[in-house]
Amino acid sequence: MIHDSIIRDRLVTGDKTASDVTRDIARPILNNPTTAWKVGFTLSLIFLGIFGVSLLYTLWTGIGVWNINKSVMWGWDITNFVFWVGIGHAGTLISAVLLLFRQKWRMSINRSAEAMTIFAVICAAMFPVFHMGRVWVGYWALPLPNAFGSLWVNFNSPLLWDVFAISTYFSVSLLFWYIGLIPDIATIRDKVKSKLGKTMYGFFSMGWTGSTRTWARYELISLILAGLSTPLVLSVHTIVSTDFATSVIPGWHTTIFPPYFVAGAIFSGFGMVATLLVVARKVMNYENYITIGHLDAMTKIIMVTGTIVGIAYLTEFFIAWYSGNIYEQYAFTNRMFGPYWWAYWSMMTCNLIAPQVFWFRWARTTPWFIFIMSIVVNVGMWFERFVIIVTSLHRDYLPSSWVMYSGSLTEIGLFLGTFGIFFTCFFLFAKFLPVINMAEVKSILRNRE
Amino acid sequence: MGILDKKLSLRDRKKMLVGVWEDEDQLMAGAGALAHAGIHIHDVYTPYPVHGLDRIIGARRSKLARIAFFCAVTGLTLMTTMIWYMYVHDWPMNIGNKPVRFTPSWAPVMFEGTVLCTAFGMSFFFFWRNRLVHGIKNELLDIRQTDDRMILTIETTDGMDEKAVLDMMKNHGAVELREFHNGVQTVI
Amino acid sequence: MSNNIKYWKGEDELNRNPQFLAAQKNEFHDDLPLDEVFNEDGVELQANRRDFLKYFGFSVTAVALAACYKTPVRHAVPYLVKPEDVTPGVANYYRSTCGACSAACGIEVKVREGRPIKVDGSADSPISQGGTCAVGQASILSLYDNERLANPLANGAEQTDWAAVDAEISNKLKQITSANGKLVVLSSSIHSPSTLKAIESFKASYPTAEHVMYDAVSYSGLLDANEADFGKRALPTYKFEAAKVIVSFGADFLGTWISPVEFSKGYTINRQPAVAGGMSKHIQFESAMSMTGTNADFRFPMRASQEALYVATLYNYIAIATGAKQIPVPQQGELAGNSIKKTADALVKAKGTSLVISSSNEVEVQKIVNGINMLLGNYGSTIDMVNHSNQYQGSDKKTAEVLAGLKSGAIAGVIFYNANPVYNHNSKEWTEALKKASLSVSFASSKDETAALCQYVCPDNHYLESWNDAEPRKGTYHFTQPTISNVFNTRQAQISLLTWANAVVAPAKDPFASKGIFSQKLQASPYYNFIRANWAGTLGSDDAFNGVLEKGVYLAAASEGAASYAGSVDALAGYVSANAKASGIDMVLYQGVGVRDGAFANNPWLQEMPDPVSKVCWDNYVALPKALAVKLDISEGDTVNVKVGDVTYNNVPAMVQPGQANETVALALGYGRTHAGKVAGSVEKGFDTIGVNGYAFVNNTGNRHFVVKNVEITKGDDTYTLAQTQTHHSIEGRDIVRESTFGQWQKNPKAGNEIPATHIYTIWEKPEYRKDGAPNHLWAMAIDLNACTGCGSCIVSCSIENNVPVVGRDEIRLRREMHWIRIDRYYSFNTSDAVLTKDTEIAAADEKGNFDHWQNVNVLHHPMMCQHCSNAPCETVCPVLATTHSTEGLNQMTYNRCIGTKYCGNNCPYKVRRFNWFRFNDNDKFDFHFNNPLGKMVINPDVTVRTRGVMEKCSFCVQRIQEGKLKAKREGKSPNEVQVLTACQRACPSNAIVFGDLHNPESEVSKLYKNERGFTVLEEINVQSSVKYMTKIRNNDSI
Repeated sequence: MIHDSIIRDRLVTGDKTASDVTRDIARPILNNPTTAWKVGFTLSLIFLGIFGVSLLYTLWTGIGVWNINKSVMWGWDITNFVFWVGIGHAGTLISAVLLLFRQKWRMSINRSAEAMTIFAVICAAMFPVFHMGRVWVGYWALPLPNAFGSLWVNFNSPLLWDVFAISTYFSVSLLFWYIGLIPDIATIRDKVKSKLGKTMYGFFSMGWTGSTRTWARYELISLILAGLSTPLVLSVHTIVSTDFATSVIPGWHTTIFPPYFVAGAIFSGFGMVATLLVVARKVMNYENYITIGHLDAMTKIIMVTGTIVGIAYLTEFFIAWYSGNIYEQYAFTNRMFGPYWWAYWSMMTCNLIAPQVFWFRWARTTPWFIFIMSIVVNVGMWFERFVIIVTSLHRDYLPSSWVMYSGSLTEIGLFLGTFGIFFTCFFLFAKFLPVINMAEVKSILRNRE
Repeated sequence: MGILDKKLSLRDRKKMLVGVWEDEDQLMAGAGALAHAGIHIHDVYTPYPVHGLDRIIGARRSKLARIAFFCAVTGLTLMTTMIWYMYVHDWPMNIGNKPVRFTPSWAPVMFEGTVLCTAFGMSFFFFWRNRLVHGIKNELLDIRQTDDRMILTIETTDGMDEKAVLDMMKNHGAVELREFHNGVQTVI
Repeated sequence: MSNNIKYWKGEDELNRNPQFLAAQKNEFHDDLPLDEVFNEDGVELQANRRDFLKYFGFSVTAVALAACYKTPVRHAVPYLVKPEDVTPGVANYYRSTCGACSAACGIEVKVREGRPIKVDGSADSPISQGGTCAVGQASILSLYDNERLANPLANGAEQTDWAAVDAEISNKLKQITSANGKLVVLSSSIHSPSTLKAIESFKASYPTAEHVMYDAVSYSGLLDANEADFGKRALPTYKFEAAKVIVSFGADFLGTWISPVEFSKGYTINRQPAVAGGMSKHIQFESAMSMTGTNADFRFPMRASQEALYVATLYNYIAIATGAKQIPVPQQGELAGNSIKKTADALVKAKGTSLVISSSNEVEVQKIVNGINMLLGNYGSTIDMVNHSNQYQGSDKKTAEVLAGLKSGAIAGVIFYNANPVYNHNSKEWTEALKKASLSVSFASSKDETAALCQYVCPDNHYLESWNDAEPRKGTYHFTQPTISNVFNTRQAQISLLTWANAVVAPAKDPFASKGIFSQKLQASPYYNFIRANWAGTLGSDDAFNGVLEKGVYLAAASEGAASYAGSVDALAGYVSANAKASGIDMVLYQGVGVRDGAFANNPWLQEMPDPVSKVCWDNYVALPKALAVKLDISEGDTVNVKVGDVTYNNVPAMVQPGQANETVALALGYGRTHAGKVAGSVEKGFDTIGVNGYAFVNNTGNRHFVVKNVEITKGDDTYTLAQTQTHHSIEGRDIVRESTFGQWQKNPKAGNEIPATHIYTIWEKPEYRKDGAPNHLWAMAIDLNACTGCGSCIVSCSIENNVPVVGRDEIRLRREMHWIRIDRYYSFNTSDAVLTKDTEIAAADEKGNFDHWQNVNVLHHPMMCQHCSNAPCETVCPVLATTHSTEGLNQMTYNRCIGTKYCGNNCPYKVRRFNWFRFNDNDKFDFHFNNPLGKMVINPDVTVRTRGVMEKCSFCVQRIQEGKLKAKREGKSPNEVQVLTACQRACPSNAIVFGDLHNPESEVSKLYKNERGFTVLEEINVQSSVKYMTKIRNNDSI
């Protein structure tokens, strides 16, 4: 008496049983690390080192070691910040929005996507913190009673909104992720042999037994959290976009930023997810859990959001022309044909034109190609932020203050370094936690009608 | 106040009949039959959420949503008051000639604060209610109940025909039947 | 306002109970039994509980205090006896005379706690008239230059004992005179009566001695011409305030020529369109783009080598118009269009109120110019040859004779006073010659190129440590008084001379004996007595003399009469035709406005001050005309090799200079110092030399020729990035600066400013600056673009007043200069049919292969500092409220609160915010005055020195505002009487900047705000800036 849908293809292939799922997904945790893992981890540690060195040098000497100047006071730092925050959006989006839409296929990718979110936000946070001239008093940005000059903080400043938005987003995502992890941690707890393992997983599983009552409430809280996270995700990147939109600088002062930044965030987020999962499913042979179907769905989203972003670019231009404001007009022509034309055109190619290949089924279903495309997408999104920030600042109102800007070694080092942070975290995650939500996957082994 | 769900603990259970299933559908059927027979199912432990079970075992609908709403309101009030106090009341000043009163620019901070309060307030209640505490001793009936086994427990009452209940479970595909007596399990 | 409220604790105190009062005196109610502790058996003393608690409490407190104490040791030396004229926190002002150049401006020195910290113009001085130039402003730093000689040098070795040095020198002097060898005192131009007298008395006791004056950048040509024409070797006094048509041949009279501050003051009066008799017309013929050229109404490129022909042609046209005899010269076709003809007509029209000047050092050219001015009847009206100027008197010929004499050995001993010929004359020959001299002494205050080769260096005081008088103009006397006691073991040159001459006047009674800080030094300064004796005739009494000291100026009655012109130009035809032909490439060697002749090259403020025209700092460069640059395929960042005769410089940075005349190049003097110091370069200390030494190109035969012919220029192999504070030079057709012409203005005073005020819709209410209900001050600034000449004096003044750090060449290359006020300079290119303001347009015009538009440019100088916007974009975005708005309309920056997110800087539409990228003080990477204790003496105690990582910007000199308000309050004046001068305004030699209270309808700024010419920059983005600019009016409708 097995109820099984005949019209939908299975979300998990290979006739897996619950115990297979446990075995497959817990394997990397229970066994010793593979060579591939060791190599990857070492590499990420090296990059982490690069980050450390660049950061120490910056802190010791002053941010003068970057090349930012009197007109372009934000360069690679904030570019990287927005880049990482953008990536940090896919995770929550996948788990939250897709959960609300009851998209069951999300179940085998949301865990790693959420993890990615958390690590990306950590990387992102590095830049707004360390771009400060005086990091050691950075905590003044919090609404604490203090004895320095003006007593409180400025609730009109987008930077302050950032402080609240990023911290909220990080902690809520972490909570969401952890609650999702509890049942799986319990599973590991009951599988793991070592004493230490038992204690650690035991500690974090909080005595989970899988009682039906708990499960009922568990599903409800996941639902509500998802409901919260969705507007949260949108708000966070909207607020990030106001860092520019609320200014008076031509090229920044545009109302289209919030929606277009959010679209960009989803775009880059899915790009990163694709990069990671295409590799992960191969290396950890999860082909049966992260199927071609998943890749197909993700690439569709990439294509859609990419196109939205592209339309946004074009709209900006139209508005610039239509506004009749010479400063706006100059700012945008300068993007296209000014000294930073290369940045602009690489952005256009990577974000608007390239994703169009996903109209073809082959492109959507060929892992190696998707991998390459996902890299292209990430590159494009980095350039988008660079274009927005640098080309707007380097030539604004008074031609006397027009300057050129190019990142210094330290700035580049910091950027590469954040990849160190990201992948170190990700490798640890892949070693010590189930990268696929076992409990949820078990519940979709059969397609219910 | 009885936030903590007493039913979740096995400590003060004298005698319980335990059935072990491997298959979700059979479990559902069995549980349904038992409930139909007026036998009160104490709880079912599953490695993943099995929809519908909670109704069968007669678990009441959770109040989490209402708690969430309460936390949200608290958060919103908290934030609004904070901003008003800091910005308007305690130290008003001329910042770029923006008015010192409620403006839309307060919205982001108010919203984020609300979300934060809701998420954490609610989760706190969730953990408390479900007796999820760090480092608590976990009370498992079967080491595989978080892997692929599903455990159904019935608390015996005076005059309950234990035999009949066990048969009923067996007939509905229970792969194993046990008796739980003052924390000790014996396979029947 | 004394406070009579009495606070009391406890009844006892209230009704003053006697034993309570007694008890109150000692800290502990019953005294610590310390004696028990400290005597032998203190160990086993029975300390009761209370005693124990006392010890305990005491020791804990002591330990706690000891732990807290982490303040670094500071060298603060308190006054043993507080001088009655020094109140800590209150500045004293002393009148004195600027010693930076021999223009000798009257100045007012601001002294805080015995430290001079600022130099500004003295309103009573007819030379400075309250203004200063950048060099004058910066000169104060060389007082605190830790590279000055701390002691006299004898044969390279430091000598702490002056007496010993004096003995040796006097002996040598005696030997030389007894052997009848010649002695020469080679000094810069000296017009101080007392100094001259001192030199006389030196000559009296050493009869073979001779005094020769030598100026690095010499005016010999003009002086000799005047000697020939008026029988008086002197510079005339030019009265720009009386000139309605000014024609200048290459003379940068607003920047460097003779007496720039004086001339700027006079010049700007007639640059006002509203001035009686209409705005003056300024026509400039020149090769290099000089600062003065940028201000001209008409500017015509001229080949410097052909100047004689130009002036001759002008002479002839005027001669025709006035029916005088012409100079028979071959007509070279029409030079520079028929501009000269037009110029002549304009001059003739303005007969008697016109002025023609030339910077040429050729006697013949100057004679013709004299002739022209004679024909125009300018003598007596715009040129005063009777009350002539003494500012420059140097003679190139005599200097050459000295050099020859030294080489031949005829001159046995030489004393250098403010003269550095080894650097700025014929370096090689002087080096040789000095070896022959049996006595060589230098008064240089640092070991400069010449001093390095002298046997003795007797370091002179800085002028702020000195007594002196000066006569920059006949009958106009300035006085110099010390404002600080000698920083080092230096001695005034005059005293040295008097000592060697054995003519030291016995100390008279010291009028200041009671008067604190200076008294000891005064008694010790025989030169003070010498001056007193010298002035005994006119200013005998102490009161008379002190009165003059207080004023800084003594004006004798101006002498009447007219100068008798005995010159003629007929004989010059030969010279003119000989120099009519132009061939090859000319090079003009000019003085930069900052570093001038190089004497102040070691002053970081001047090195960092961008050149008013090219905006280049920290280097000199070869300025090329576009046409030549294209021919040599030279673009930004390239270098050139320059060859003149046997002198070659390779890989000199090149810059394409709009306005540079074709076939000419220009190179600034004053660079390439080999013995200046850590800033400008020093061989022995191992600091790289900045730039190349242009003096090497100067031809020293006869009068020195600063125009060099037949220069060979080739492209260099290297590339070199010049440090420029502005790298985009066109205004891109934006409505940022508004301008119009005099003709337009006469029709409609709103001309050029008609653009209707943009309709502004705001949801916020208008700010009204009130305090406790009553209207508060509302500070605002108005800047007259017609007055501003772009000289940069304000930049330096601001840096001094506000402790703005010097960041050096590399940081400026990264576009990180810290100046709070900058002067934006925009070029617009004129073609026959259009005015090009966009780079694209200019590029398009260049495509045609014709670069005439590069020679025909208009220039705008646009001072830009924080606009103190009412709707300030910077304030809104600061997360921590480090920048907020005051109730007086000031945009305040709270350094302590700043965390350095830099968003305010990004969001500033004017880009006037500056960030402290590093710690600029006590940092060896920035080894300027902020990096040594002596240099820090110049820091203004009223302004914070910013730390690393905070934003800073113009504060409208809030510290001065505060001072002004307090002063008014103390004197019980009404708020409307508050007098505040910002540092930039105070320094401005052309009164371009006005600052004041908009809530005071009577204030000058309020009046200017009503002026039709007033506009604010970027009005359309509704930031409500508090700085109004006055439309630039050019008098260029027609010559």
